[in-house]
Amino acid sequence: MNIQRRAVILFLALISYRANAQAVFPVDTSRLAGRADETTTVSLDKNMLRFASKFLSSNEEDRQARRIIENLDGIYVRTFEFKTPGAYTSAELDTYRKPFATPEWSHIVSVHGKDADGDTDIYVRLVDGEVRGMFILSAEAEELTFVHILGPIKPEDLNQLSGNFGIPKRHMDKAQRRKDEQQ
Amino acid sequence: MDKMNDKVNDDIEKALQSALRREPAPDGLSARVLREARAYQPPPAPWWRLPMVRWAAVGVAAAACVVGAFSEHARQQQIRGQAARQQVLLALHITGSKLRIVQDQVKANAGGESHP
Repeated sequence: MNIQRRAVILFLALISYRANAQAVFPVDTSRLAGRADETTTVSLDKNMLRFASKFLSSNEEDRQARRIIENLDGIYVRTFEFKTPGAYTSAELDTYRKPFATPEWSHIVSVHGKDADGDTDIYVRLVDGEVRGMFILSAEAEELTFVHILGPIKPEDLNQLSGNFGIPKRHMDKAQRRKDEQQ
Repeated sequence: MDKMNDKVNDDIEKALQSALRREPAPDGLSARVLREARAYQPPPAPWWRLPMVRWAAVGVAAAACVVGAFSEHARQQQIRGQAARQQVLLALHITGSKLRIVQDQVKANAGGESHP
């Protein structure tokens, strides 16, 4: 009896954990991880963002980062790099887009690139006319990126993000790298 | 021969009896012994065995433990904090690079439309 009760409690805890993980990251990317050559996962909840902001220095980049994250509730990033193109199907992408086909989310950008830049979808969660969350799905030939930002995001934050932070460092986009090589 | 041995034994016995006979203690011996016992002072203990020094050593050791634990905790926090900072910057760079791509594509499309 005791063992059964423990098993039930453990099962409920697992369900609750999965439900919570699902809440912070609205799409299930677990199947992609098996196929990916390289996976990057960043999960920063509000507490971690507060903790990290204490260690941001006074240089320009860190100051901008502190300003952007100070009101956020979380940042969750999943990047999957594949050795060859065609590691995922467009039907699969549709399943990732499905959770955002609700009135809660607005599909503000849908870009279909002709070259290696690929397709990008941006969804925002609007609450009382303010952006309270953002989801980016970027599908390139050999890379899939999911970004989920929780909390209020100001337009100037987006400008800053695509400005200084838009120049990739470690995660330089393959497309950009190709362009650089061609030049 | 036996008579000679008996005589020697008797002499030895008498000498022993004489040497071991009970004699009264000199006058004032017990008072002198008690006086000396009261006046006796043990030699001072070495400084490191003084209770105050022992407690001080225990205090210093405890303080060293606390300081060591605290500095280790601070070091671990620093490592975790730097890792979290790197994660934040990485997340912002990935997000920023995707937004930049979208911006560039939107600009390119807008340019294409205005100048067909």
